[in-house]
Amino acid sequence: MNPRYLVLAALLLSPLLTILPASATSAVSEGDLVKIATRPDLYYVGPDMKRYVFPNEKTYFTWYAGFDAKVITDAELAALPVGGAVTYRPGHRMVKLTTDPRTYAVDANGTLRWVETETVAAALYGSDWNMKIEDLPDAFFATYRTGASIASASDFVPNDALIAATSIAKDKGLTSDTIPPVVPPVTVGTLDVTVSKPTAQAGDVELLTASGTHPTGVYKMEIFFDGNLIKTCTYSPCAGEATVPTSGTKTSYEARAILTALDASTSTQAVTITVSTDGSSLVQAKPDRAVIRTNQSAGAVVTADISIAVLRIDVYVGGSSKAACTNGARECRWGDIVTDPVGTVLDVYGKVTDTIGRTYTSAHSSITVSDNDSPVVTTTPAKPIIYVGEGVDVTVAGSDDDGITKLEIMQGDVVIKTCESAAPCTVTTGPWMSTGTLTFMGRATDGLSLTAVSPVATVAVQ
Amino acid sequence: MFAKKLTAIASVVTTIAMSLAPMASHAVTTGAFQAGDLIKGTQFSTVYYFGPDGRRYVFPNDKTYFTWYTDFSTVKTISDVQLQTIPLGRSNITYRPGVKMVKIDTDPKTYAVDQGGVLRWVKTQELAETLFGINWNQRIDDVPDPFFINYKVGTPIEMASEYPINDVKNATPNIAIDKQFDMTMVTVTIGSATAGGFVPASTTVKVGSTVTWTNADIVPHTVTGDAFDSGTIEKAKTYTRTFNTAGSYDYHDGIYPVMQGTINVVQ
Repeated sequence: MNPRYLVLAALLLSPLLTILPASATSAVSEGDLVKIATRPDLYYVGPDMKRYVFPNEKTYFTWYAGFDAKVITDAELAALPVGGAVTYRPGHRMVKLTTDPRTYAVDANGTLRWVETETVAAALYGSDWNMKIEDLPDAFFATYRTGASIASASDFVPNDALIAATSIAKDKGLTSDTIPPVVPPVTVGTLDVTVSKPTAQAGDVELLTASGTHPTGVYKMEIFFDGNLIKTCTYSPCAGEATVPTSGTKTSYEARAILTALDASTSTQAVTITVSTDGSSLVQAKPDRAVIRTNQSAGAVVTADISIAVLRIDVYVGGSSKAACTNGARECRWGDIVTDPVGTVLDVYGKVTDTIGRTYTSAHSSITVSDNDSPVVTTTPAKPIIYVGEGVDVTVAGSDDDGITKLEIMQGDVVIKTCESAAPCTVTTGPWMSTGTLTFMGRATDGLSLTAVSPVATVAVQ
Repeated sequence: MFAKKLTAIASVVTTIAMSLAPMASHAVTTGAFQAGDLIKGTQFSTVYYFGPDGRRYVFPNDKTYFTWYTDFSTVKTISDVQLQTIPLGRSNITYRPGVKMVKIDTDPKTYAVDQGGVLRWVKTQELAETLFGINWNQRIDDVPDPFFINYKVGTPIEMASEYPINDVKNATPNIAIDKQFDMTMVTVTIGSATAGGFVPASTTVKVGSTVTWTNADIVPHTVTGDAFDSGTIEKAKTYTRTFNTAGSYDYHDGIYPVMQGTINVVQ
């Protein structure tokens, strides 16, 4: 077997050499036809100052009748990068590829549109339509694109397409600042960025993963967190870790991936990581009293969920760690006399560090220093466990420097008893006829109408 | 659809051949080729690379061909009507990376080829010698201008470490990888009954591959097998099916039953 490949276009253009004028001018400008003295090939200079190649003589003659080219120096030509190939002028002729029996009309910007039937071809190009077909080598097909086929004569008006294409630049849609694709891409590249936690707490470690493809191949991928490069890969997917800063005022951070392809093009994709102040549901921080007076004792307890392998618990009050428990317990308590002036609001939250260094931060709550402190209120069921058919007494007690004016006992959100005095308030509930858990709370109102709610007390019905 | 006279004659020949073929299972024995094969017709000697997207890709010249293959022993000959039914690729085959350097007559820069037809300027003679050896200047091919546009110009090579030539060559052992084709996404083109029918009529894919039939004819067709039926596929429309079980799947066109095909699914 001895395959013979397509004849090279340079040979097709050779006859042009002999009839070219030898005018030697310089200064290339857009729209020029240019050549160098020693070679026959002609080029069209686009407004993007790139040269466009005529694949063969037939293509040239759809645009030009003569050979009025500007002769430029070798260096001037070399300075013009190759921008692409000139395609047939739209509407001028039909084309057929060497090994494809279909006949195509040429529409704007080298769009080939299959003329489905002879009838349509005759309606568009006249009864001698088959004299208006030119052969196009297969290898030039890649410089064309394919459009919708022409099923009826109304689908395409050759003369309109011809008139609209006043120049090669107009046909290609070239302007001084557009860079046309050399070849329609085989596939479109992709780029995705994922983060392990779209919503994160300060101190969390984020795993950032970028995966991408590009028709020319991936040259490198870079992952940035908050503008800082954390990882560079020469492969995809690419993954890196970043810690959400614990000090900082940002409410969100940006994770960005930049893919550089082998053709030097880059694409970028970003994901926003929101910093949550809601806190981890695994850690609870609770002040003993929400409102205190100056020089009163304040306290707070931080508890960690059983799912955390606790190494250390810190209780943060007013921006710094006021108590640290490093004995592995799930609970850490802080208590102190607060001397801050009235009006101070102390931010209270807990931070749990586990045995592999991850941190969990609780939701924030506050202790307010005020003229009036919250009443202290407790709820005590008589028994923690009762049997079906039994009742249970629940007692709410309150105390406050300004005296207690009202105590309320609530089951869930419903007030089941109100006592208008400072004496402990007791209610008998039940009998309870089904198994489950009963929740009770107390609410106390002090002499200055400030209220406080007790922790929840539960009773199990068995 | 209309064609030149030679093509019309070829169609008639094929129609006769088809009507003589037995209607039994696995009737389709001619026209068996798969994605990644080299194919040629009978009238022209031009060789094409058959891609998984059901398109045939052109080698712009024999120099390009010989960067990928040493001879023509693996080329499969198919009928001209089948060849004509297969659409041409949207890009041409480019040089295999790491084999040769290329340049164009009208630009003094010499380029190394990277994956996907990306040209990377080899900035100095020393660098060319490091990468391509003492005879580097015999490893440069001139690419004709009309084919230079098949390439894209990428970043220049500043240091030899940016273009580890053997790694670059080994990383692109075949055209599928060079063009980043997904070989599990295979396309079968539906031509008219006289123009090749299903092309390729018989093809082999790996388990888990997805086959897409594209109707390139101007009349509707169907893809009908024992276990699947596309319903009517209008012109320019497609039907897609994924094959997750190994086996041989025969199918035919419910409208033009003379058109038959087989998908062989292998592990």
